[in-house]
Amino acid sequence: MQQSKALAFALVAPALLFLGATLGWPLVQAIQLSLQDVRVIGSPGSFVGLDNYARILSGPAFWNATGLSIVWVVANAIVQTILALVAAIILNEKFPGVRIARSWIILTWIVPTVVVVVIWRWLFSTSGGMINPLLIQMGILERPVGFFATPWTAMATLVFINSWRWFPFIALMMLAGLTRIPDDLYEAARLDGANAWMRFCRITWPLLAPTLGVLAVIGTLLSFNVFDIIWLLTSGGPAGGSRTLPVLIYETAFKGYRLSEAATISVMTTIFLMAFAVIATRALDRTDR
Amino acid sequence: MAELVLTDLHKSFGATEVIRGVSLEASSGEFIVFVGPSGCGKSTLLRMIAGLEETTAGKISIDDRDVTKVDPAKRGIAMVFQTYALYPHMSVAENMGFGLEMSGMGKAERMAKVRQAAASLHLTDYLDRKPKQLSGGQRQRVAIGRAIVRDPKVFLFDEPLSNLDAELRVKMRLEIARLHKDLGATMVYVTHDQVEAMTLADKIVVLRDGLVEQIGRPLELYENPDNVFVAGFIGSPRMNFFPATVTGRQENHFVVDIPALRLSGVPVRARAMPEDRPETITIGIRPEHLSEAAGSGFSVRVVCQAMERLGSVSYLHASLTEETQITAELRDARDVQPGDAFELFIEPSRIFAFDAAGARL
Amino acid sequence: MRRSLSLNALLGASLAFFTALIGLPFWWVVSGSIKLPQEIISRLPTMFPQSFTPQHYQKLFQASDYPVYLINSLIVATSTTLVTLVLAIPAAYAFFRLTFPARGVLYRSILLAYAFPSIVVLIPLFGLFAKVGLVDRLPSLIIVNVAFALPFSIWMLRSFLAGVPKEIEEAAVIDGASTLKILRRIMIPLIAPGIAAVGIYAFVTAWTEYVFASVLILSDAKRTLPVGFSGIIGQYQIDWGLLLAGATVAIVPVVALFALIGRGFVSGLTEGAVK
Repeated sequence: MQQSKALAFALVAPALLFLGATLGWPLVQAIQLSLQDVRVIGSPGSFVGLDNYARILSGPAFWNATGLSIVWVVANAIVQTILALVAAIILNEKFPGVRIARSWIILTWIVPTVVVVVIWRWLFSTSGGMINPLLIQMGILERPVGFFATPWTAMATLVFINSWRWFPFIALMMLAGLTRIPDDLYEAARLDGANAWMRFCRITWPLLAPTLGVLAVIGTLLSFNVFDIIWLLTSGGPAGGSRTLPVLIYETAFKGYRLSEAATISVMTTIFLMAFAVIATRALDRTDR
Repeated sequence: MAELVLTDLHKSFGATEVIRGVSLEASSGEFIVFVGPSGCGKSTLLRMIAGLEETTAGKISIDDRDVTKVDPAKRGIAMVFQTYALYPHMSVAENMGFGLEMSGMGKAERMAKVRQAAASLHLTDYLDRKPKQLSGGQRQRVAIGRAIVRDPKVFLFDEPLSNLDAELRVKMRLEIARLHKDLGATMVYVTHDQVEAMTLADKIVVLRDGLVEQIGRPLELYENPDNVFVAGFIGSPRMNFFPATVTGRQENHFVVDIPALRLSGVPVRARAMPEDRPETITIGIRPEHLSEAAGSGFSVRVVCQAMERLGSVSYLHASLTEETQITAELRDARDVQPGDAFELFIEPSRIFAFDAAGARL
Repeated sequence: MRRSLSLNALLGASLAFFTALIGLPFWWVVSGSIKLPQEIISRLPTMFPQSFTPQHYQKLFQASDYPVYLINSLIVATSTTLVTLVLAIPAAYAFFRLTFPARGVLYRSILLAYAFPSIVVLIPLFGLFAKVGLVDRLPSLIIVNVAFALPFSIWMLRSFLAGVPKEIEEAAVIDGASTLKILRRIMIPLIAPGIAAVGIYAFVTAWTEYVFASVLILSDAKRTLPVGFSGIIGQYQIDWGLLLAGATVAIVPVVALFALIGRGFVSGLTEGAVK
């Protein structure tokens, strides 16, 4: 048994060391950087203590980005949960072609983000895009709209595109939870006279809740960290209307050349996210018991 | 010659001690069955012999070799699991030969052994199939075949038949008995089914709360239980127990009053008379030792509560008073309805006596 | 179970909605890539191509190093998959089937890595790679992608490993298999669907990654598909035909891969346990 403990360590060590070197160590570097005044990568900096933190916490940019990140996460959570839940329930039914549907629903997720961006940029564009004519034909719009022109339509469009990319993945994870609910529970409920809606409320929802809890945590972290879709579509604009925290960090570091400030925002973001992850998993553990 | 010797075995999981000092000797070729209620430690004990659980204290020897700290594979044992535990991705032949392959045996020799074992278990036609393609009984035979090819000194069975349906269970029970005869190997078998225990065992070990209650041949446990627990555990339906007051004693029996049955002056046989006369004892009567046929002995008037008719025999559940229930096995299935009152006869020589602590008198 | 008529209608309508939601954009992209430029930007878009031209594809393969990007992406994604599996399988096996001190703490810290905003490590990692000379080299991308795919991969293997009955492992112990033999001969074959799922996850993570590839790779010949593709987007004059052709070419390899082993990914995600 003693030898098997050493073996167990040997089996986890490569993964741990790898993550330590690629994620852990850079985080330490980021903390160091946040206490200095480095502007460009490679240039020397001097120790400034918590100056960066004080400056960022007292300015509006960080708080605006935090607010937008929260809006981003919540909006994505709502849209993705609804789409994914409906999709998962459909995929859990039996109908001709369900196996094909189960496989190919994930199509939106396996395509490079840049391609997703181009697809939707074209579809939403005023020249040749399909969305404007479609909405005009349906009588929702009177004339073509520039979806990325105003802050809130830009944000809404971004949420839609990101949700479109991610909801199938979430739906499959939900489907995994759904398939674990035994069929005879539904049959028993039917014998008890429950209709489809009651069966959903009294069986599907409560039994799926633990899975949904885990997915809520994972989904929050996933969407919080989304950067490429936003950057490629709006670069945080218009008028900073989609400048979430990851966008702010990138801008500060690579456009504003204020590396230490970017590191400072990074460190604070990490602390927030980790606190969230710890609290959320604790809460989940508790409801599990 | 002793093949398997357990000496004062203890096992703790954290602060809870689940095996609290078990000693046992099995001679070569003996069929030992562990029985007991769930949680009594019978499976843990088997897993300790297998080496799947570490032994906290005590000694296990197999074939005069101390194996307490030896790897499971090097103990000279083979185990058949309740769930069969076949490797789903391997064929029957690969399943049976895996252990031999691990021990470094060459392919030709391995296949010869597998074929031989398969033939004796009627599995030859299935050697290339996957476990998924087999019936429950066939899977069980593969699991047994996997044990046989290892040529172990001791076979261990962990409730091997409990996943099979009733008919198959009887068939496999006979097959295991035949196997034991053919191989002449020492076998240790865990079950909660007393029919399996009574029919298969040379020696039954009754366990409770991590302790041995009694070890003996099947009929010995039935006819001569050491205590209330064994008396109640062996035999179905369960033995009836009633409190009794001792009013007198003779050289080999007590004279007792049994208020619950409204009987007095009943002579009850004792194995050994204690020095001092106990005032109250517990008496036990097996349902099959109560009859409706008038005979010499004592009789009680009962009211039928329910009849379970099994065909060959019927179980009568009756009451004497509000608190007193009695179960009887009746051979002559007379048309008794719930609510009917009639007389049951007791043969005093078949009454067991136990002291206040539950030990047999 | 039988469904009522109204439920069937609801199911059909939802199915049509999702098919359109997911399918239409792809259809428009693929069909648009063979339309003439004037049809692509016409005021009234067409559902089915009215014209046919291979000109966008010709331009794509003449004007850019698209085949090179494609090969680079395949190298990065395949290597990421292999390295992720080599690291994740033993770690997950140890985490979920063996006991050792500090197991819970270590597992939790791996999950916390998942809470990392990837952008946070971009700056320090760039510095680190600069120091060891990995900037502008494909291995740097492989390292980064493995780091992002690994925590989730380990977590994903959990339910697969949990689905293997303990008795099978014990039977193997009695058969004399060492821990490593059990991993290789029993566990890995039994969790194959899970390994396929993790493999696809890692592959897709690497295949779609853009930010790090755009920062860590400087020379055109080392670009991956997403970065190369973004290079043809152009800032002022947008050539939609070229972009749609590029998008189609970027979609095809993953779709082909997915057609081969995609079913394993989905059933891997949804079934988990070994039956």
